[in-house]
Amino acid sequence: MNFDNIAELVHELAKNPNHSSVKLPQLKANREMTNRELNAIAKVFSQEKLSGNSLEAIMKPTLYWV
Amino acid sequence: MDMDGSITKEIESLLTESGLSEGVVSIINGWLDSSFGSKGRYGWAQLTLITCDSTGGVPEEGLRGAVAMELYALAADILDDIQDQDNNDLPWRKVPPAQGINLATCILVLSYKALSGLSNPRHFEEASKVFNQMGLQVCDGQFQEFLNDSKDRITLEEYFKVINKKSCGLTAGACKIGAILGEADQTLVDRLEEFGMCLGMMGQIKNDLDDFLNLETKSDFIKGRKTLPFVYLLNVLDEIEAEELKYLSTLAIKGLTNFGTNEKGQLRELVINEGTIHYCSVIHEMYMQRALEIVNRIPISEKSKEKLIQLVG
Repeated sequence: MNFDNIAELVHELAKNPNHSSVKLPQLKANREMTNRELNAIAKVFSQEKLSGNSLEAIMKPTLYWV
Repeated sequence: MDMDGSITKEIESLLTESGLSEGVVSIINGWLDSSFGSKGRYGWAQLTLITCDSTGGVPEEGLRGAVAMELYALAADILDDIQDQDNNDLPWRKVPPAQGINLATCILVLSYKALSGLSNPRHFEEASKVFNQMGLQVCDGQFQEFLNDSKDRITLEEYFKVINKKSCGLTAGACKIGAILGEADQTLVDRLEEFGMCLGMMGQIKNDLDDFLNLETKSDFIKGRKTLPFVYLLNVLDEIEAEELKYLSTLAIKGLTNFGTNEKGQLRELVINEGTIHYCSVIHEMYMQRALEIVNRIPISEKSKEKLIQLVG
């Protein structure tokens, strides 16, 4: 898992949300990131809850071990 | 008897035969009761029992390992809170640190005593190895975290390395012990250990994000702790914004009286505008996908798979 590459891409998409429809297929074609990484990014950016000026993030499980 | 009832009975029996004084037993029982906020009652024992059950383990053998795990994790929690000076509302933070350390040590020894009650010598030997390795990893991770907290900046790789040892070590260990007691073969033990690691990572990311802006009750940002939101921001912000974040951190470390509404607003803006929540959510989602993938591929019954999937969410 390349945490730095994901951070860079997420940051870019957060600043330019409209780029995701172009950027993600490009990365997929170039195999610069794994499918799991790209799917997770696409899923998170498609969630309405996160697209607005919100601090809400739905993270499961509600019970967790830390 | 339900699972909680069986665990309580096993703990009572262990404490009765321990020879500890009544006062100490009463405090330990109270501390066990107060530790189930986010995990449900006996969360660690339940996690061990679910993995043991899913691999076809005998309930009695699983129960001893589960109680050992519950006590081990409680001792680790207490020591962690004392070292971090965190979670002031918990009972072990309301007694002098010397008493807290003493009782945490006592609970840790009790966990090994519970483990020694395993009837199968091979189970005891293997579970002991997991306990020892888990403890070493957690201590190492905690120590690296101390070192990281004193640095201006760490990489995301460094953050995940620490979390992998500190937070994921216990969840991975609980699942591994459950699988060992369930007589799983080595491949299945490894897969369930990885499943536990994913659970730990998901929990830590959720915890880091929940606590980041909770300045009044949590001390992560105030202590300059290198949690995921903070590390992400330090790594993606440009020079000027990174300086702004460091300035806010320095102010918060000096005390909340210096950290007013404007500063809170600035921090909130950085979190929202720079994709902090998105990043935490993406990494969380990836570990969730991996956990589900593991469950779907391992050779256990559909009913057991459902129980493990419920743990993921």
